[in-house]
Amino acid sequence: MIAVELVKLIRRPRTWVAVGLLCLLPAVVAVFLATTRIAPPPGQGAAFLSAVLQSGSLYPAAALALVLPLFLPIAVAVVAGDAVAGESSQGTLRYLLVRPVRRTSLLVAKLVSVVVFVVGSVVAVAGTSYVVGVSLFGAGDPVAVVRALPEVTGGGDDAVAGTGPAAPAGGGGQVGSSDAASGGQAGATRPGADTGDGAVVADDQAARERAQASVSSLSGEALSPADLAARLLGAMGYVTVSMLGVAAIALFLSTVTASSLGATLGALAALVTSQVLVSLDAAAAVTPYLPTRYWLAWVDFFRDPIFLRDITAGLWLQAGYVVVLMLAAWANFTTKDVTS
Amino acid sequence: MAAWSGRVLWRWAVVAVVAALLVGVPATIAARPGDARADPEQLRDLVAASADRPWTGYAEARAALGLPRIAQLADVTTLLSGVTRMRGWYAAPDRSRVDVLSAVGERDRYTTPRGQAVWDYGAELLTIVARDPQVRLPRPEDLLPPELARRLLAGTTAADPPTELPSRRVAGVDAAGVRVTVADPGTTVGALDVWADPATGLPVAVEVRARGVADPLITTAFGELTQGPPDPAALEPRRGPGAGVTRSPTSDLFGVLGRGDGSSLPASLAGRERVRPERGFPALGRYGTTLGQLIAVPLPPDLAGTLLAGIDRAGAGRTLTVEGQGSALETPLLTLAVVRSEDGAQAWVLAGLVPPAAIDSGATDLLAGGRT
Repeated sequence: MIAVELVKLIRRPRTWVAVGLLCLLPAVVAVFLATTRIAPPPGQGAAFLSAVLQSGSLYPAAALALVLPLFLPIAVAVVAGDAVAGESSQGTLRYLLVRPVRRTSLLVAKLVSVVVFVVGSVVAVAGTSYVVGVSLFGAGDPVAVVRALPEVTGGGDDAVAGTGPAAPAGGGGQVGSSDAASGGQAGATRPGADTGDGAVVADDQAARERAQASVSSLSGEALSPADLAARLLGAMGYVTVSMLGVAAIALFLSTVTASSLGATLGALAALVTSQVLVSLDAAAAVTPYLPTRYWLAWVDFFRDPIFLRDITAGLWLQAGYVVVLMLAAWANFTTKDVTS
Repeated sequence: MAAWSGRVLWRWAVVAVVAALLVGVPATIAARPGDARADPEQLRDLVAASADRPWTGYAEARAALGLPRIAQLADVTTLLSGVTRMRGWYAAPDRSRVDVLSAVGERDRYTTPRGQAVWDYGAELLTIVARDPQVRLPRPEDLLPPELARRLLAGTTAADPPTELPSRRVAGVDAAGVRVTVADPGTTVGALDVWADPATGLPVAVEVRARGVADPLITTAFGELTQGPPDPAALEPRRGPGAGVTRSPTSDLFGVLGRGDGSSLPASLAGRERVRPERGFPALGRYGTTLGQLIAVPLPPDLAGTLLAGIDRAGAGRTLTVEGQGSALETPLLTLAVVRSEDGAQAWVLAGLVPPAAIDSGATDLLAGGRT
């Protein structure tokens, strides 16, 4: 059953058009950015859009930020909203159920096919945007790498000590040298500070590799390519899970109505309502239960240390939506009179 | 048909029960009352002495002062009229890090024994700060529960009675509560509600109430908390590859203004005596030591003009009836005024958690003192 649904998903031109359009948006943005070199002002625009001018290897993250608020949920709602209602409106649902297929299995197969669509879309967006990003912006700015090297290899005791060309000599190194020179500090702080310094100085090679990556976390930590890849994978996984709530809403509505459009628009209406309420202080009591509340938490993968609080809450929330709405879809679909 | 209806009902009942459990169980766990008790006097003392308690955590502060946005003071007006999300690592008063999180970046402030460093992801800049004055503009980290509790409690007096509040569970801590009702009519602060770990005295939630306002105007609480020394690696300032670095003697507007000439500041304002100024900042006038203290700082005429225009544009200022020019931004808790002499040669910013009468009186004293 699952295989049948997957084949159906793959054979549909609509699937590929949706994925193609999702990949197109970041590519268009990248072309504009690369030709004009005008990044959004600090703190504005989609996350990471400024940073990609330095290194295209961050572009998958920027691409996720671009498609997440609108395009990805629309695509997911279209596919999931059509899952059952589409069969119903085409009159094929009746024939589908004539076969010895349990309705629950059909529902599960539909969910799996939607999940595969989401995973495929996210991977396609990230993959194409990586290629687009690296080819348009390069994998790292050589100037940035050169400027970063003294910072981590110059024998300074931390990132601040080797301040690079921008720092005047007078009064320098106050913050940076504080750890090594800190006599008479509280016992709890000293051993840790020494360990941190030692780790940086001892491993010049690792530091050089990190600098060559030329990509910074939001907290200013240089990210190695492997670290960046791991964080990107985490973010992609989280975005995928974030879309499961939308998929579950659309799939449930798809079992309620025979109109795919109705199910899709219903799911989108739910999302818009959620977005409005999330930004409303007066709705603070229900905010933690809204499906879009933790959508932006994927950015937390790029903080140092990784901030797991909202990510964990988001995963639980999406799981809750999937469980409740799939149960509702099951309760509705398995007891429904299918006449079309 | 009856059996069919029964099947439908049974299935929907399963859905309803599962949904209710998923919503209800976490809400019930979060709302279950704590059972911590502590003597209010002792808890207040414990909180005041908690500066050496290390912790790592995440806190959210919500301020509802409703200040209009003034471009030159945007950081302050935004901070006091919205939600601030912060991660913190605190080892000691001179060894900490606070990240202010936004959806697209973060701004991290590292405190080290030799000074501070501020990493701004959006600006791709690390600023090494030599020293900020004690009297300065509010910053996000001031709204962390331990900082806010200690700072405000330090402004209360022994005459302000502490009473016990029902305990709360905050970030896994069964916290005992104390309310300090502020008796001084010279301040707008009506009461401070502090919940703290009764074992360590570390404040985990704070609510600041203004006189005559039912709801707290500032609420802050930990959402996640681990007590104990933080990971030392997290306390090391860092900057991303390619990012700039700059040095600054101060990161605060008052740090710049305070180095100027303080001769226009009178010895007392609105009945409050001037506290001896901090070394290096002669132009920072601090009057009084309690919550009703007034802060007065001389302003360059051009900045005063810009601020007055900003307050007027915001449309929320009250014009002061003084011999000169004055506009005040008033909230039930904080009042900030800009006063300028008639000839425009001298100007001051005047602020405090004080009622309008104290600002009026302070402005009059400033103008009188400035003339002499």
